Amino acid sequence: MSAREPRRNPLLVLLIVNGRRHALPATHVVEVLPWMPAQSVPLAPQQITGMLNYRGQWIPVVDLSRLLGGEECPRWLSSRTVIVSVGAGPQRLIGLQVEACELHQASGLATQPGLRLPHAPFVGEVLADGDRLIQLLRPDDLLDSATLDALTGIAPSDMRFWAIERGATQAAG
Amino acid sequence: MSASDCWRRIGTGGNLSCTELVRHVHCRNCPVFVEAAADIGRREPPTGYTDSAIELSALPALAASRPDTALLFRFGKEWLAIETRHVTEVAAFRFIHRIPHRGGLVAGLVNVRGQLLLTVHLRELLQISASDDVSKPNQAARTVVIGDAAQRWAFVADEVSGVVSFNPLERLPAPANLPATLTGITIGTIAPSSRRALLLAGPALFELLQQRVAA
Repeated sequence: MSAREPRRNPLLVLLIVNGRRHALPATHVVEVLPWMPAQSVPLAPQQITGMLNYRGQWIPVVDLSRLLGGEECPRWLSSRTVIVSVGAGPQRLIGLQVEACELHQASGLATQPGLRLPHAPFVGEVLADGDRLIQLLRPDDLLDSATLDALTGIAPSDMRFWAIERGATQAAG
Repeated sequence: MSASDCWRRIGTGGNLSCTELVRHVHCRNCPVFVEAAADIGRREPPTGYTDSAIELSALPALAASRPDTALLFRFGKEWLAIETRHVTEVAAFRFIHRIPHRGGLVAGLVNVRGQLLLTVHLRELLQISASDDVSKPNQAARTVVIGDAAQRWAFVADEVSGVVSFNPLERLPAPANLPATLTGITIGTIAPSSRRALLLAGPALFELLQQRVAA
């Protein structure tokens, strides 16, 4: 893996999970909110932790730590739900649960090609920032289109039955 | 290196004996400090924090809009407002030179800083009734000059309250019982600091003036 020349990188939103830094281009980040529990959706695909009411729209929530093969994201004061715009077509939003979130102006960083994983297409290049690495993520590949289609079409009225479950998960959690 | 509060003991908040200060100059630039700061977040949130986040994130986002500013002025008892971008100047009351054989809405010509401007009886044009005590000389009267790149109009207001800023999204509808002329150019009511004023649309007002006066 050879390092390419350093290039001016756009503003990045750093998503920290398991102490490691991952990043999305700031243009794809709509809002950063405190961590909130997602309402679980029975029979939902495995990557989806649940659904969240974001400004009246129910959006799928993905635990980034679990997506990357780790444990559940901790519920710390610093934990965040990052609302990300995905998909080229009409704006679709998903919520990413992370440990912490920072802004980062990445300039003059060397890019490494990174991993190309067929089962994890959202993993992109790696930036070398001093002696630490930042793993870039591809927002449009976080969830496959079939999953997005199945979930983003849910109308608010359909969610009222799942509201009952929230009481149960809160009591248990 | 994970000393618990080195910044307070040997760092910038302490006796400055830390060797890392040579490199970082101030503790806030040192990764040890940065890490300790991040560590504050790694704890359970206070009670109610998550619940209020759930509540607030479900609400529609506050429409962010830049506040507009308008000049507040009065004819009789009626307060009016016009957006400041249509206002050129507010001057002390000036003597109006009547133009012979031109009456009606034209009050005359006024000299504002060397420029002769056409003064109109805006109050009459907008069919607003005059204040009751017309006989008393009005100390608060001001000459207001409005216009855009192509035109300038002057009128005398009974009082100019000043410039207020308002949120265009919080505009209230205009009252229903306005005279016809006023209805055509009013775009709502604003109530900055609880004084209600009719907001006039600049371009519509200019058009009205062109139609009725220039003819």
